[in-house]
Amino acid sequence: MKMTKIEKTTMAKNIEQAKLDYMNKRSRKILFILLLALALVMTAIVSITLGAASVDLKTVIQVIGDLFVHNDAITDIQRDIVFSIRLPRIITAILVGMALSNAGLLMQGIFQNPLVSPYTLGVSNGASFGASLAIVFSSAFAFLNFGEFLLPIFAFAFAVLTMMMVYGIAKVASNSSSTLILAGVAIGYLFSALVSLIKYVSDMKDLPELVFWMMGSLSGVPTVGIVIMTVSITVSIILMMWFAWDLNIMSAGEETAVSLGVNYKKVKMMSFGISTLLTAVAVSFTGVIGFVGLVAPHITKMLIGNDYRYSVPAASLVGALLLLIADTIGRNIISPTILPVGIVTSMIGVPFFLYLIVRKRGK
Amino acid sequence: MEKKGMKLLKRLMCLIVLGAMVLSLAACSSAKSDTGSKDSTGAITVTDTAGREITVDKPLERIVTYNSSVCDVLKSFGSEATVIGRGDSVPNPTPNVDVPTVGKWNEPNIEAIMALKPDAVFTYAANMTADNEKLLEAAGIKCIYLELVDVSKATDEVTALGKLFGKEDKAKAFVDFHDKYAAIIEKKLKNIKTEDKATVYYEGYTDYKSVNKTAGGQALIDAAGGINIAADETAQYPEISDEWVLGKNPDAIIKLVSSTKKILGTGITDDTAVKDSYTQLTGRPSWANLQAVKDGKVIILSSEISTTALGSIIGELYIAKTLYPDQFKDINVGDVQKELQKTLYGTDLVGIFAYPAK
Amino acid sequence: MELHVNDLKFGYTKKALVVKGISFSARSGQLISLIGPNGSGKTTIVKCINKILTPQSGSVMLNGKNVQKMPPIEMAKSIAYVPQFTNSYISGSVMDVVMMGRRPYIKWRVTNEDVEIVLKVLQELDLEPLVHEQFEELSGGQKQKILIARALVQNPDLYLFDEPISFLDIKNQMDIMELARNMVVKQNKAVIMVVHDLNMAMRYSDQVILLSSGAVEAAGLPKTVLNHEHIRTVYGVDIRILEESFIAPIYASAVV
Repeated sequence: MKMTKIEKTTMAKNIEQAKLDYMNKRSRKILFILLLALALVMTAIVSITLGAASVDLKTVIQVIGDLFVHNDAITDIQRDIVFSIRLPRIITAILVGMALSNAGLLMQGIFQNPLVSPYTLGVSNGASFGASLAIVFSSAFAFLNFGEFLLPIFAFAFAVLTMMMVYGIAKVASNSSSTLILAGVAIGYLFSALVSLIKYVSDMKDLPELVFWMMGSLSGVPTVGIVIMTVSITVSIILMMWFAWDLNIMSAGEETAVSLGVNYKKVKMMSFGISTLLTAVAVSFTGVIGFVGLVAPHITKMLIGNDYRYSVPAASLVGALLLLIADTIGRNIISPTILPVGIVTSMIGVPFFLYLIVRKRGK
Repeated sequence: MEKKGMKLLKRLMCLIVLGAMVLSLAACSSAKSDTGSKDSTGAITVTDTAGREITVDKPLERIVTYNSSVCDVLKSFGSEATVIGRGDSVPNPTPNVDVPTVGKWNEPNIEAIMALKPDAVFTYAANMTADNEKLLEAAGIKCIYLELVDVSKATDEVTALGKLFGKEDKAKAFVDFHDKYAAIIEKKLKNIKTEDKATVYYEGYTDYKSVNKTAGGQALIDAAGGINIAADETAQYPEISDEWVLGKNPDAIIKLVSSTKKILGTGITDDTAVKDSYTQLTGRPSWANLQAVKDGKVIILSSEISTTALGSIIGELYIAKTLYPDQFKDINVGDVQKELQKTLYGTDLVGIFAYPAK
Repeated sequence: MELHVNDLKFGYTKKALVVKGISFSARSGQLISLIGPNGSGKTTIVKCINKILTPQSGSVMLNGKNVQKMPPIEMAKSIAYVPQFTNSYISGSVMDVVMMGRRPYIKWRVTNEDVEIVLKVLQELDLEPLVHEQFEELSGGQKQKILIARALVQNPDLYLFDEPISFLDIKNQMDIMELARNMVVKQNKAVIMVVHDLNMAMRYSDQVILLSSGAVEAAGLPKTVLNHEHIRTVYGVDIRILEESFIAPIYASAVV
């Protein structure tokens, strides 16, 4: 088959065009991520000026200015509201959003299942069990001398324990994704039954605290918690970006991944570890905040596609943005009462998510 | 748009609160008008918390209780032997004598109750269905809802219990004691001008969970002459924004701890744990700047003296003294509690119930 | 390129072997068809060559090196694999899916060269118009060709195709077989292919390996392997050879 000269030039032109398209798409993705980052910064700025106390934009600017040039008009309380109350809370919202969103992104990828969330494998139930032990039997565990960290430590330990149980069971049975999910759901039910049992035998005085914890709250995360979350998330994001290509290919299944030179078992183990860490850290400090981990990855993929090199930063930003917006609304809508963040997240996240689904189908 | 929504919400709240007030007023007045009487035949009639009239032929001798406060009151009457069945959260009224449990505190087991054939069963009204009530009443078992939850009704309810168990004298001893100190508080509070009344941030067992005016804590604050800064919130137990507390800068802070935490309460003699809680509380971001913390008007109370019918007068005293230390200089609340213990049970008080002690 | 499969044994459980000691060789410029009834172990053999499965015993030597001990990336540069068509969930655009084939060569950044290679292959397969489409939204035949394109951009010495034409129409079947033939003849690659279509195997293969319950029944030139007796033994059906390379089943009525 011989090509005419004209055919050859159009072919070359087509390739050039397609290449250009590809490059454009790449720049668009990067631009989009930058825009998301900008949106997050803007939201954070708006968020820091809103709150139950009358510390508005002007005051915030003065407080920040006061760091450099002392300003007598600024009271200690105003300073603390900005730096010790609002800022840590905003940072917490961003971190937890990032953690849950990335955990979900990773799990949906390695399990090739869009319904999986960080909580599917029973982590939240395990953590809730740990938390309920810490709340209801606090006096029995007083000898451990964990103080205020008793609850997060217990929640974290049981989250990790749950994952280990799930993984162990799946390994003994057969290491397929569906076994893993089944084992996770089953273990999740077990722990949720244990939580119910503790609720059932608990004193009515302890019950509200437990129920409240299980709704999730961004209040009162200690500085240590913020540091731990920051470190875990940074390490996780670096690893995910480093293994981005492997993760991309793993979403096409084990056989394809192996044949394309991915060390499937190693990367899967690692992903499993990262998502456990991210979920456990977030849950142990803020309780069970649902929905973000399921929906933020989907929103990200609809907006920017599946390439982990772009979806990891994008999902981090989408998760952070979602949670920060939700918490800012939750803090201010019936101020000074704070609406639990989980409720607001679902109320604003679900309509947006449904809109994206409908729009995608329409296209 | 948002403003409009807020307005609507506030209006709705006002309506709800108004409704609640009317209802509670009605309940109060009915309770006041007829807390009990004995007619010529010896039958006893009292009104319970649910506003129902209860008539029994003779003092109760065998009862089942799902309400630990009722059990406490019976102990103070010396009537603990009447308890023949208990809910799981009610401790054995007499140490070393095991009384059978008949279900969870909020789920009365009707069969188990019937098997014990008591004269009456004491539960929270919310946990008894109409059908079960009918069943029990048909079996000749009275359902009595003397809940002892609202501390402002404590004396009425204890009086009613006194009648039901034929221990009017014991009940009267408590009521007298209670009223004596309630009168002292009231008298001292008269010296406080309305504009000088202290604002109070009241926190329940969970951090930043406060109470609005429909919750139990309000009665305690009212009795001690304080103004609850969260009284107008929508939720009964709202989670409060920490910065709002800073903005409101209350004159006093009251924190409750549950007796289950073993930080405060009967039998606790080591104050290290409660000291830690206190440091943590006052060490919250910027709390050092709060007037309450500066003035040392912060107190941690055990649930035993803040949520129980018999103990809440002590809690009221602690709060009042925290709010107005000058007025209550002459009152040692610890001693008053010892006196109460003696009056009620004839025993010595062991434990730490408030921190710092006053 | 030389591939030696030596006495390969594999079973999912210790007792029941699916592949019961199979040996054969392949070298550059050969198209080898693995044929045999369902469950005869064809796919398992291919997966053992590709390290997806670890054989219980026996070895797969690629250019004198044991595949099991090869670093994954090195193996991926030498062997490409197109799995049996399944409706598995791969999301992403056609470009993304085909670009996966460049994985053994990509460190992290996709270079201009990678993009060019992908686009060229897509063009050769007439898939270029689909480049921005979502993979999931394509037809079965298009998906199959895209997965083949992914193997092509991998640029290996040996291709493993597991039933590459089973879901394709006659035009696409011919296209794929021509393509495989071209790779062998023009680019001196080796292709090992699992096929069910005996006519295609007959027409395009250099060698045919006929399998029956995990063992080799016959191997060699298509004409010698695909004869009446062998097929009757293995499949239990009668066929007759119509022309030099056309096989037709004999229906029951025709035999009588």
